Amino acid sequence: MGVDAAVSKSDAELVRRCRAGDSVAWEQVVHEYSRRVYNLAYRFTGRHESAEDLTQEVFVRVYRSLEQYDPQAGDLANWLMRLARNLVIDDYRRRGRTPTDISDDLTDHEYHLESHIDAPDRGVERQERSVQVHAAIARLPHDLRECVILRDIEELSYQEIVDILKIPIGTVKSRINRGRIELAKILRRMKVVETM
Amino acid sequence: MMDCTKFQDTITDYLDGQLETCARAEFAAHRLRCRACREVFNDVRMTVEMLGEVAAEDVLGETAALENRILAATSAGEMLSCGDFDRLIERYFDGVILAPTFQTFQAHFKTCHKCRRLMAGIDEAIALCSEVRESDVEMPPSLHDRIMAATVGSEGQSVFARWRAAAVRFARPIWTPQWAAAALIFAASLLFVYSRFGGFGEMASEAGSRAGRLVSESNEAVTQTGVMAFSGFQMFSRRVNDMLRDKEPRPVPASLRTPTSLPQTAEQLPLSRQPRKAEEQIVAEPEGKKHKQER
Repeated sequence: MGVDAAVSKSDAELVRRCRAGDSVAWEQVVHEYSRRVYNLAYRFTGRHESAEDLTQEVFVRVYRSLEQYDPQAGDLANWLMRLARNLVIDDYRRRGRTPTDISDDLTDHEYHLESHIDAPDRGVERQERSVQVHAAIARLPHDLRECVILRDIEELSYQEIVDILKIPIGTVKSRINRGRIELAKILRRMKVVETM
Repeated sequence: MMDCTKFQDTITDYLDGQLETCARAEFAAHRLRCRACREVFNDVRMTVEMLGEVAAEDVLGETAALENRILAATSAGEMLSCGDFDRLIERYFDGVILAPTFQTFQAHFKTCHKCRRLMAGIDEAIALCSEVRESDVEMPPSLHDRIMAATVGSEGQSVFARWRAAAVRFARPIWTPQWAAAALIFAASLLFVYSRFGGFGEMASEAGSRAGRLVSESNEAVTQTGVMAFSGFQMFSRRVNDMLRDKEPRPVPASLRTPTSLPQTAEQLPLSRQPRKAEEQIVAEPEGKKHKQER
């Protein structure tokens, strides 16, 4: 309780300084949270360029919303990431429904995966597999994709997903289940699962 | 007995440990029995494991470039919204804006065209206000009297001001519709008089001369009628006398005979002639009377 209060106080002070135009304080916020926001953006966009653009947009919006931050309602990390998730999902839904063009990326990655499959460097293999998984996620229907990302990558609870997506919990569970099955089928077609 | 559809629908619940013991047993039994569902289950489980690896993985290597980009994009000017800028304008013009806020304010001013235009408009308005403040406006001359009248009444007012106030009080009802209509008619009459006669003096002189002419004509007509009546009476009395005297009427002198035709209009009756006729007839009258008296 004492630690939480201290965190809230330091967060409140940090935000106050940011709002007063203290660039050092704002740099601290950016340094602390940009990686998490970028990862989140990349899960949804599947592209580094788009993820960078979205991360930048999120931080601009976060700064302009700093006056809405209430230290009593939670720490800065939760508030900022909640805002970032909402913005990323809004952007995802707005760009919407147009599937990400990742076919070229997929082909490239399949090729590289096969060429690196016997490589001794497990780190490289893991990195390649991660790229394949992201490519497979990008092939999911958008409603399934957002649920799978929020549950299995962002590791949110069902209730948090309900709050963000504003859909019933039964729908969330159903979409997560169907999303996982669809993703498994895609990964199998990509021979990613088979190679495990 | 769990079928394939039910099995696949409950995979996530099974992995999350949400299934009851009975359902869990049915799930396990179906997995052993159905090869296709077993493959699906294994694929899903591996997929979830891979997603977990992805979650733990950082897709971003070096953050410095991204941080710099964010900081550049969220420079002071970008960070300040136009609404915040509006709220700071008053403090800026009052000179009470704090240094860090001023930097943000200034940066936003540089980057936002809309707010630059707003500031230019405010600058212009302030300059106009100061111009107005420096130049005195002439006070209406009547304002002093109005203030005096409203405060101390008519005392303290000049004679002219009192007359003027009285005139204003008198003229005030003219603004009612009836008085306004009357004033309009009066004004139209004045206009007509001026356009017709060139002024009241001309109109009066012309009217006077016409009235004089009419009076003279009337006088002449009355005189002429009187003369005619008098001569008729003389002729009648003379005839009566003659009849009484010798029963032979005497011829009427030509001067006493009734004119054959009377003038019908003023033009047929020149003014210069009438008095002479009248004088002659009036002159003749005493002779007749004298003659009568002598007789």
